[in-house]
Amino acid sequence: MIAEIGLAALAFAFAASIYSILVSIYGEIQQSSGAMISGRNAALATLPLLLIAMLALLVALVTEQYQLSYVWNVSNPQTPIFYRITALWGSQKGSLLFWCFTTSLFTFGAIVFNWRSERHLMPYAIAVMMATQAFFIGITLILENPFARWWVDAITGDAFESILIPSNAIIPDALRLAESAKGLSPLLRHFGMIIHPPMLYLGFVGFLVPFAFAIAALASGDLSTNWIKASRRWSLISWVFLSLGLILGGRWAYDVLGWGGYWGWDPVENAAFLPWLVGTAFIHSVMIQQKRGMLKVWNMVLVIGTFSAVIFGTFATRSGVISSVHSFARSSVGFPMLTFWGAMTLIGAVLTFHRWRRGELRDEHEFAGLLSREMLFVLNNIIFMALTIAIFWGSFGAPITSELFFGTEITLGKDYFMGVTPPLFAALYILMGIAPLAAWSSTSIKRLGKALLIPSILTVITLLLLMVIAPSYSDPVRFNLAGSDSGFFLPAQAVAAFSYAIILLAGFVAIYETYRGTAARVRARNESWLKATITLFGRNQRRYGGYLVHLGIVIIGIGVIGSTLFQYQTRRTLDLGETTTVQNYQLRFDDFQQGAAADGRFINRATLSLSQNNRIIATIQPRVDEYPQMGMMIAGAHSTAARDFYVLLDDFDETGNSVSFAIYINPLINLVWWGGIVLVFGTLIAAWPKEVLPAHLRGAKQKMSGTNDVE
Amino acid sequence: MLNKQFSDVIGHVPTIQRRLFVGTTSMLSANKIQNRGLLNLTTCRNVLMSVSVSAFVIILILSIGLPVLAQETVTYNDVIRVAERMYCPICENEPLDECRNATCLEWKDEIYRRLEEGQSDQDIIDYFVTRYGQKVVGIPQDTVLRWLSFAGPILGTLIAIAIGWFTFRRWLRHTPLTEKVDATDTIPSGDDDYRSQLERDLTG
Repeated sequence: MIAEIGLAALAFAFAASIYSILVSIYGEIQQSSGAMISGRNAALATLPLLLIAMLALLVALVTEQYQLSYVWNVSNPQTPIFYRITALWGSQKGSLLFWCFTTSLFTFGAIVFNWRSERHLMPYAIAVMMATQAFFIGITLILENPFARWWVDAITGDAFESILIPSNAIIPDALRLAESAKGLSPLLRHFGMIIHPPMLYLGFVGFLVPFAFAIAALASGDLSTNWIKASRRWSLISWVFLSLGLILGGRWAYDVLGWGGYWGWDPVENAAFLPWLVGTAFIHSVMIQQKRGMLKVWNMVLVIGTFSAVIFGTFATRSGVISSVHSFARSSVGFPMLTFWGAMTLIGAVLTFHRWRRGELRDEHEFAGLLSREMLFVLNNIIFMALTIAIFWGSFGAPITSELFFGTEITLGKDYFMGVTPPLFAALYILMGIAPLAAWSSTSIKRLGKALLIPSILTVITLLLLMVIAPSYSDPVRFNLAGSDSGFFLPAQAVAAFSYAIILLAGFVAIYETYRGTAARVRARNESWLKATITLFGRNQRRYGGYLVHLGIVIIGIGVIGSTLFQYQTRRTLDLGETTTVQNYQLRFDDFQQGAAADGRFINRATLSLSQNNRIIATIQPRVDEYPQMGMMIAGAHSTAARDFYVLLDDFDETGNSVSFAIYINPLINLVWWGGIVLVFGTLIAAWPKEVLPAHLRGAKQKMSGTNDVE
Repeated sequence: MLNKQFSDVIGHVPTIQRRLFVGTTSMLSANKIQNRGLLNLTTCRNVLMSVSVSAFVIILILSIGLPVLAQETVTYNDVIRVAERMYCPICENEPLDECRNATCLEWKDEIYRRLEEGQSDQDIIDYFVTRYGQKVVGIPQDTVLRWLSFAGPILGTLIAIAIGWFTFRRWLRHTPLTEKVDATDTIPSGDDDYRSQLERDLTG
């Protein structure tokens, strides 16, 4: 029954989306407001419909209806209720449904908040958003239906999957279904993994809104900053979700993948990183258009590029094209997704080209000095673009080209990315330090130097301090030329000093500028420091929220440099009760326990005590959880601001008396997570609306009358 | 009981891996894994190799007992240094140093053995690439493929610079002084004292 409800709701949502596209476009062409409103209402209706479909699947998961093959695949009777709920996005089919729901959520929001103010853009925007939604609902319905059920052929007795009730089939025995159910992938039983996919989806899907407004602007010919005003907040919201998704994904990898790191330059990670890069470029570049009316073509390219990267990332991770070009052909969603990606990108490109040819995207100002903020922003765009190309090429371009045209499968890994990206990241940090200080149109070097003076002094002082307290251990950093053995080594300290200098400078610029603004208020208005700071952020959310985001990125950068350049790694085999010395720590192997847990996994857990200066500072318990499908190495760590002492249970003999541990000391790694929190705060400040509800909704609320929206 | 010195350097075939990964590693037959001793040094593709390796292993095991030779041994981090540049042949995009399936553990043994023989990092990588293809290393060793790999970022950067250059040129060509705008643009209007104060701060 529940499957039928879900299926029907999904089918209605599909029909409503298609209807909404057609009627919205018709309404726009005929200038019929009735049709436009009808199209809008159909778009709004998809939210409750998809909510019903999602709830139906959720109910099926919670009530253990294993006849649904999705439920059967992602849960079993041992699965705790919490993971039953999160199993909703635990596998392709469910996550596609979740994706559709997210799309309708953003569409709903965009309509509610922007319908009045961007009336003439809305029909096109709705058509674009509904087209995307219809595409994903279509895939969910036809190719990856989460409501497919198990049936048993009445004659042959074979079990098979079918979406609709087949003739001549009986419902399989519930007990047997429950017994054979697979259970959630062990990899997904972690907080980071539970929250990371929805965050990433929200980030991915959210960029649909700016894209839709951009296409609407191109299609309608209203190429003023209206589309940017309408979509700015949506871009920021999506950006923060995407950032959060990436950071949580890193945290998850660090905690459960058992390799002591958080970012492996894996194509799946890169697929999510690409939209982030293009989106970040867009968020910056769009400011130039708002302030100065410049870079119009460029902003179109970036917003279309962001959405294109989103769809490409979805295609790449879901189609199997990453493992091999040929596996993509076998995947059911591969070809449709590739087509959709191509079509959306092409539509965007053609429309942009069309408007550009007609001269409608001409810049309003044509002048900027060499040291102006505009120039520095263009430089920022250039670097983001180069980074995007480099990462795209390394993850997809080169491997696919090589396989298709050279018949050789290649892998581009850390060596490639660590060779190509650091100079570009360094350039970004340098710009992050300079660009906020440059004035529009032109700045003199003298003025810029003056503004940089105090942050530079602070940077030098901090660097000197760091050199005194820095850890002594580090391998030289290899700079390999084109990945060969030839190359040169630099001491890690030198690389770190340079990296920290540029990162810290960017940080101090953000802090010092905020301080200057606050100090100016305190002097001019005699306000208290606290009040001055709050008012400063409130008065110019974008500027100071932006500084806070920069500070978050700076903190992440410090963490990344520390944990990359100074990571210490070793492997020790210890007998029960034995103590070993790792740097200035002593590690004693105290206990080893094995046993089956209630949820079906078999746990092997070692207990170690960590001491420094003969004082026990922590108990560390790395473990290996064995599931029927796979084993999971869950690290044990003693985590401080300065470093993580991170231990993996690498290996043990039958008796458990002799165990090998992989030990990592990861300096400053926690800054990566903390920087993430700062970044979220900063973005929230920048995006927080002064009034939560738009004017017309506030008015309606006050009147408390159900005003009919027909105008 | 594990042989400690030895396993700290290269690891052995852990009981756990045997339990967990035997089913998933297609490249090795279960039989082969069963036959391996605790020290896991004897899986090679051809018989000749195994014989010579076995001989070598025996010598190695004997020599480890000798404190004199133990000084010169290759360390765990040496193995990791090479393994970091390589990839698991079975798992997708899993770096060799992080992978713990039976094949990867064997490959790490092989790296250890070759380092002990005095081979350079590059020799070892070349050996694996010749046998298993370009896929097992983080950057293709084949010159053409390597240039293909680096063509992307190089071209990308050049294109980006070219676009930037044209934008700059266009902007610099128009230099009407009348259009000169001041930094005041960036400060929100509405709070004038603050604005003037900040302006004073900015100008000195």
